[in-house]
Amino acid sequence: MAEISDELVRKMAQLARIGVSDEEVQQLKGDFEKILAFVAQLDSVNVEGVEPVTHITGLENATRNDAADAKPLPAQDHDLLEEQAPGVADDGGVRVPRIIP
Amino acid sequence: MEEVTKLSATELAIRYRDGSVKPSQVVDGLLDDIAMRDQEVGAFLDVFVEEARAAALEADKRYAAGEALGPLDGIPVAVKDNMLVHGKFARAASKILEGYVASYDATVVDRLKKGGAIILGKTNMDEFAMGSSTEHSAYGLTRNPLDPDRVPGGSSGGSAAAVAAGFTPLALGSDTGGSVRQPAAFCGVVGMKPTYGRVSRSGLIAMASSLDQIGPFARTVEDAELLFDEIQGFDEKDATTHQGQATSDKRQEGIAGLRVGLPKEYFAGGLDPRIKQAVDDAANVFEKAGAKLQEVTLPHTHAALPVYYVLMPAEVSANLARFDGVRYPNSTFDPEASRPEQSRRIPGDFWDIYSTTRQQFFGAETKRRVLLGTFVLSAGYADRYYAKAQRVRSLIKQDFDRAFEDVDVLLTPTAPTLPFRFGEKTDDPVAMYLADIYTVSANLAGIPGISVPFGGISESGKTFPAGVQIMAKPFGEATMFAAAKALEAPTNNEQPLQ
Repeated sequence: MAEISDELVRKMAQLARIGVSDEEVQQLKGDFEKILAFVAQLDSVNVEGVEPVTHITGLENATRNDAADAKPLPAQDHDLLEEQAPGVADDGGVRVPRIIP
Repeated sequence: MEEVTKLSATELAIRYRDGSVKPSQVVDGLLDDIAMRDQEVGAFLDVFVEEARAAALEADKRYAAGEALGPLDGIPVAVKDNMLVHGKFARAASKILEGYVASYDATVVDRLKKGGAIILGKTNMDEFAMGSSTEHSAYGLTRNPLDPDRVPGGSSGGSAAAVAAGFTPLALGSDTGGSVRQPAAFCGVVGMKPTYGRVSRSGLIAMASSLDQIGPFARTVEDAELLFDEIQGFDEKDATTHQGQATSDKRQEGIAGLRVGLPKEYFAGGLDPRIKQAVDDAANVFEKAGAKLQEVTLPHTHAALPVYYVLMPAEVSANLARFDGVRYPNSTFDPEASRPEQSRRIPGDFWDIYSTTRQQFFGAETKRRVLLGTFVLSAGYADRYYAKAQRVRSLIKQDFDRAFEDVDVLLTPTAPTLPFRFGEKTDDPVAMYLADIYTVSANLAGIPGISVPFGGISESGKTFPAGVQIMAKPFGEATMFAAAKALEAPTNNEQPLQ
């Protein structure tokens, strides 16, 4: 089983973009250990020559015509979606915070 | 006076047609009942009082004019909070979606509305459908109508409780690892998960996309089938829905000659002996009705939950990345503070907003699963966990393929225990996860499963029906429903077992 350190939990939190307190790190570390000990049952399963699942009912490449026939959302819905963003620009559109410093 | 609110959906459809009952009578009765008793149960997060009354009056007119839209016209349905209803809150019981109003109808909701069904409201659930008790909701507890000291199961606990409490004949839930079948078992109602790809997921707030399916709750198998028929089928908005098989199977009657498999791995340690007894009794009912019983083996059963707790969090971590503090109303983002003329970074920095929004508004279980999913997909661990689990998933699927060469359906328990009490498992995630031990395999293999209440187990002065599960081959829903009906013939269900 992988060794779960404070650093590993902090690293995952950083990758997942979830802020964590010191207390949460300790709690999560314990949870990770328990869950991964449970998951370790997989180590004993022999998967030599077994293909991984890609789609469970065997659908492949669900294609459709490259035509603009999909019905667009009615305008009012567009507005409803847009106006709910925390930042809405004066001339419409969703405002996002600065990404590149 | 006859209690029209207690009639099944199938009976209501007949009574609406012969004019002896009107949709508005039923809807008014149910809304009164919800107003009076749902404070105790906590099944609903929102009740659409005005819209439901108005829709019922429209249905009244259609029946009076002989122009009913379909078998569900005027029939009330409750919807889990992770499905979108245009103009209504859709929060998946999470704080991070508090205040968010859906901008379109989920395909299932659209189909219900077009068929004249009446959407009663949104039901409580575990946050983002992650949990087995509905205790992970950010909006309070739902109590089990069979015993208010116990959980209703989860994650679709609100929908299960709404049906069990008599608030609605029908409800929709979603099932990723057992989230329809397990609460159905806990609340003593029927709950069904379709074959993967039979019901559109468009407008379902995604949890683990290779496992999620929407399914019906009802008080009878016939009603569950009625609702399933209405929502199933190809949808251009969900590329994983199937075109061909989706409409090919026909209703079946009777089970004479049906080959029923009992997977021996499902009757090992950890199963409440009273539930085991109930499944044995169900097997006897099948045998008396002319079915053939046979022991089968699913050798990788022990690996199903471990596989699930790798693949599900991996998919969760990807699906929940969209909650970034920029799209939905609940956010730490203060747009005024990020005007270009304002300070150069803090507090308007995207990455800070992303992580503080998620820290503040995700619940503990959601954080746990997103982080675990990030871990099993991360460099250095992905082969060992994620890639390995996808291979073991193949083995689990092959187990079922092999079993279904010999039998038509599988008979198992739905959950290993009776409903547990509040707080009993919230401190130990793995203990909570074990509640899904008999249900996750159907999601991993993509096959349909249904839980039927059977018999009665007495404990602490209350009686709990056991949840008995029937699973079938991919797209074998018709056979599965026929088998499930055999278990609810009135004579089999009246006498408590002890």
